[in-house]
Amino acid sequence: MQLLVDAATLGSLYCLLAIGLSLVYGVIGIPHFAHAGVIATVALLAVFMQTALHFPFVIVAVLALLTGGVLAVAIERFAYAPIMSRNKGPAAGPAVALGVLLVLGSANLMTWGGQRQIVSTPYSGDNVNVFGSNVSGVRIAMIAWAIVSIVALQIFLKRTRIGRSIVALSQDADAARLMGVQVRLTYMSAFFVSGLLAGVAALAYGGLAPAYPYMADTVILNAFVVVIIGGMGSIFGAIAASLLVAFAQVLGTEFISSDYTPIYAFVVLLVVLSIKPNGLFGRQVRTA
Amino acid sequence: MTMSRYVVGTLVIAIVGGAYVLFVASPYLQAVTAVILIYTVAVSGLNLLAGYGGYPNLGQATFMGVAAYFSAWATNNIDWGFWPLLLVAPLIAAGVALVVALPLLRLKGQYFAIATLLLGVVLTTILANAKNLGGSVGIGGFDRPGTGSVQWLTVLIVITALVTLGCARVVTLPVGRHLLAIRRDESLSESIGIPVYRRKLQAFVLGGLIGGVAGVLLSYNSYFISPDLFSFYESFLLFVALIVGGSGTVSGPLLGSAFMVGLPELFRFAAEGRYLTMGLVFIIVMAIAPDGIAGLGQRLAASMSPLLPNSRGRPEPAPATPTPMKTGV
Repeated sequence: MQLLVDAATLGSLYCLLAIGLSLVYGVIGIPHFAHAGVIATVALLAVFMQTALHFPFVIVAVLALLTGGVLAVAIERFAYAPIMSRNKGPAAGPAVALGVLLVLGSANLMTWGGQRQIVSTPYSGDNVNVFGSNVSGVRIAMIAWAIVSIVALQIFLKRTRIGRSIVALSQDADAARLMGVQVRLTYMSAFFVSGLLAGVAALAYGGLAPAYPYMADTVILNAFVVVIIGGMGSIFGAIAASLLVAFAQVLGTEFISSDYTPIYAFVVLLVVLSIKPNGLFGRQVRTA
Repeated sequence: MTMSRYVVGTLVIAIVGGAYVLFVASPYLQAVTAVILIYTVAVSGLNLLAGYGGYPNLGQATFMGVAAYFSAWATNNIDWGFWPLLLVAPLIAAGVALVVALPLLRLKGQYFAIATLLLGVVLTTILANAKNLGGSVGIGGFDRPGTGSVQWLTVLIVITALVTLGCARVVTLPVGRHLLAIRRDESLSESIGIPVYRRKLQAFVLGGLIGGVAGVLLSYNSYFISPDLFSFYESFLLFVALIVGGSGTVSGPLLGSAFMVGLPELFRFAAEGRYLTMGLVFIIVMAIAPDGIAGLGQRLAASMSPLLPNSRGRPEPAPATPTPMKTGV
């Protein structure tokens, strides 16, 4: 039972990250490694607002989400836009994204230092009894945050004009431009939403594991595995892949060895790719 | 014709630069140069698939690590010495590259980048748990060939020159031209009969082999290796060196390695802020010169001598321009 809860928590985290990543990847075609940097920045800022400024949680949460959104838009404007507008092609994308992650990581280290601190939440101390076993509030919150975010994102993408522009851009950028989608504005809103998702992830994950400048760097790789094997643009693919990766990690850690935890996600990736090269629910993957 | 140009250029740089570093430069500069040369070898291997083929490979340090750890194991258990290892260890790295390439090359574009990034995570995890290879602490026991740093540096210069020329030669062969075609348009290349998968596999395995050479050189250069030296972060630095230097150019690996190794040395005074400054400089360089230092040099040369357009450097001058980015609002 405890394993099940662990896997569900981890899976929710991966899913939350994966939808933010595939949102950005769909629009701009860059693997947004800097997402991890945004998460760490927001989490550390939240810790700062709580410990030094003693803001109540609601204000911390709102400010944290906004910071995430603004930071993501800034990254798009100052780091990604210059290489996109010159059609540098696929090679520069991951390099610049990792470069931004490097900048954010070391900037955070210089600003806040390397100590690990939990983001305290109103539900931090609570425990919930689920089918006879005690489950901590932060784990339930992680799952709840993920579900709420996924549902909200789906509504946003399907029902609003901007959301539909984002979908249109990621399906066929040229056609979307011809149909009068405002590309600049759509990029910025996609990044703003991804920043909000990073903010949610920061608050939820920061309550679960301590916040420090490199808190999300390895987690983000697993989230990318989820994006790859889940198939782009498939929300059920993302959920299924998140749970698959999370279960593999939790079971592997429990029954094989915790020394090899980083590897299990990769093993899942290899197995899935050998069976289904386009991912679980994938269409043809995007080239370039 | 271009090949003879590369031979002359490489010889001039190797002899002039080599003479300066060997006989004039301070020991500090010699040590930095050694690292630059080893990086150049690794990046040259990376350049084949990532530069010419346009496939972002973020796993090059993994193959260095395989070869380096094989040398460590062989040195401590069989005592082979440097030269036999320089032949055998890269082959082991190439073998590993072949095995991982089979699933990974099914991925395209950025997905390939992400999956190769994981190679580094896997390798460092395995190595950190391999107790008989020193675990996370690392392992030593390397004896450099020759008697002094001058001889060792000469070895490095010769190997780097040979690898650079070898890669320049590969690009003039069908495999190199096919890779350029794949970078332009993979589906089109496939439909006009280019064996896309086989070319990518060849470039990946050959790149792994050359990465293995760099791994052996690195382990003998630093005497002591640890898993951190081959983490995905190192792979990323190699990739950045390629992009900054100029991907798909012959001189790119050397320029990019000098930039990536030299810059942190310059910013050494900034201690903690070193990586911050490095990252910022890198992002700015990418914004100013998206085709790297070599590309910037070419453009400057082209603008200064309009009579000799595209007379040097990159075999295929014009980058692919699918659709100009239109800015709305």
